[in-house]
Amino acid sequence: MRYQLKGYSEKKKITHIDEIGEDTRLFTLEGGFDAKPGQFVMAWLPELSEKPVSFMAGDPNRETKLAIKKVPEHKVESERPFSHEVFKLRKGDSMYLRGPYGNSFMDFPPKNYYNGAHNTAFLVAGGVGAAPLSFLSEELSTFDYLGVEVSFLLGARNKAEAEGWQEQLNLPISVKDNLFISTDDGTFGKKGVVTDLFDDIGDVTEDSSFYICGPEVVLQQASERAANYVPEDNIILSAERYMKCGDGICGGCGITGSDGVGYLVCRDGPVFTYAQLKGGDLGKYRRLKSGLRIPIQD
Amino acid sequence: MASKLSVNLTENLVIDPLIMNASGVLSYPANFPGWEDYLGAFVLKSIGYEPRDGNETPVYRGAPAYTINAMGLNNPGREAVVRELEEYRDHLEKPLCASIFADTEEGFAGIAAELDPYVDFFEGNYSCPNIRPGEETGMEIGKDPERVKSYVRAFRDVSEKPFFAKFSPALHIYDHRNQSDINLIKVSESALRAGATGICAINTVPGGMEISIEARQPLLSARYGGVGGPGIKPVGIGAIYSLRKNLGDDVPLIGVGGITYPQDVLEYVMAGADAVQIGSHLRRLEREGTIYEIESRVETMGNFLETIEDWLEREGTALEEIRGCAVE
Repeated sequence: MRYQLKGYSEKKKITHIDEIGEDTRLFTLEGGFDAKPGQFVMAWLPELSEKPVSFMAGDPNRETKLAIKKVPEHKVESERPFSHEVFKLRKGDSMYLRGPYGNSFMDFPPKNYYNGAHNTAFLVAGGVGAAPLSFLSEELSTFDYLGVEVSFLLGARNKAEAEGWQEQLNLPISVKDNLFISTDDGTFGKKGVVTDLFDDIGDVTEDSSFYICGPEVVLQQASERAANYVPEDNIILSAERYMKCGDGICGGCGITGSDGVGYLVCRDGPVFTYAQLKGGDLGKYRRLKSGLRIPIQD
Repeated sequence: MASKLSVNLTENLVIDPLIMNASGVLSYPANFPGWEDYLGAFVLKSIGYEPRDGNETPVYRGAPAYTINAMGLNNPGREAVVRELEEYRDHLEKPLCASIFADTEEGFAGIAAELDPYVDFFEGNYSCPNIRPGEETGMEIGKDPERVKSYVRAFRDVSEKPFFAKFSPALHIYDHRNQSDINLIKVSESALRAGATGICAINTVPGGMEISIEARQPLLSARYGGVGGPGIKPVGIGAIYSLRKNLGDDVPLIGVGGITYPQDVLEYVMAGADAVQIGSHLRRLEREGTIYEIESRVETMGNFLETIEDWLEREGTALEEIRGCAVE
């Protein structure tokens, strides 16, 4: 099911916490969500706030996994930021989760592989964007997607983060062979940003697909770069905007797409094609809590 | 060419189709492009004098039979809305309505004056329940006929555009028989005498609460919230019926509250509404042309509108014929 009508927040105990670098944590919680890659939960910490977090794992019979990155001090927009407070949680504490919400990467499956054509899916992850793409890589490695070769591009800040992801990403063996890593400071893998890894991925046919998740600058630049290889319909990205209701009502997460069409990230997304978003707010504008539309400074 | 679902809300204000979004849903000018085929007008989120963050999340819960929210009047403030309208006004091919709120008459008029060049009509928010304790706006104004009068007069000092005073169901619930000094009819008459064009009813039902049994505490950060969605429709219908019955045939009425099925639109029209708004259920209505199906969307806007048209055709009637027909 893509969307469960239950709207109440379920109490899920944290069963395990893993560190990924200094500012990212992977929370493993009691399971029970029937989510597809790309969907998100609204995670509630009572007396604090409620925030959208993408599923890294969300199977009814498996534990839930959520990766959360601490927002850097200079970008924090409230007195008690959720991403900082959540780092105070310990194994045995609970988060309250409602979901899954949104659409899924699976709404945009790789093209034409079922015709026997060999097809490649490039999963392009900037930092914590690796979490939902890890979920996607598992799905794309199932029998349903035989014929799709998955490559995983990961951009991390430094060695600690790169190694942390390498350990935590649940990549199928075939994908592990096609894992490319870059670090900003060059302490692991290639020095540079994740789009620099495009030089190393080999041949890209027009039928290939790019699935991109990460900070806005990665969404923007990786999409532009991918557009040199494939049609804009084959470039799929997970957008992120500030959310208040998470259910398609309030309009706070609005993002303007191509041709000026208004989309809500929580209801029309968070997964969009580059064709839907190119030339709009992507990389340019976002809304604050008050709804104020401001240029994105990165 | 006007469709079968076109109405004249006022002499010069054509709403085609007769359905608008409720204030607070979709909310901002940039979110409306793509809805032109489905909504007859676009209503902005209530605009205040200064920017306002609103309440901390959680601010909302949606359930099958209702929604509850305590957004807290978050809005970018009048200046930012003007800027956004300057950029987007020409992209929005439908009449635009600005909902406005303030806690002084001067503030109210100030917002109206600045927005006047950019919008086609106004909604006075005299009904929001999600105000701060002690804050004298929203439903605090709406329960006082004298205050309503002074706020509407302040608006009329700066604008000649159509103005709809939006009131809380609390007034109707308190005294739906119009027997006391304070009720929906009394405040509506006060608004009209002061220069309002028409009345919009209802806003959310105030004082609602959701308790998370998992967390064993209220869900909304503001504790109480306004209740919308299917459950409140009968209250909205009753309010519109009462308004049409008591105010007569000529006052324009916008009916809102719990519209979920196409038939609900017809119900509001028969109760006396000229045009209607959809709030909560808009999250479940899909614009055509999406490249995939979303299970949570129960209906497409196209089907929704066609169902209303089909009914009118089957009955051999038109919106203006059935408007208010249920009111004795």
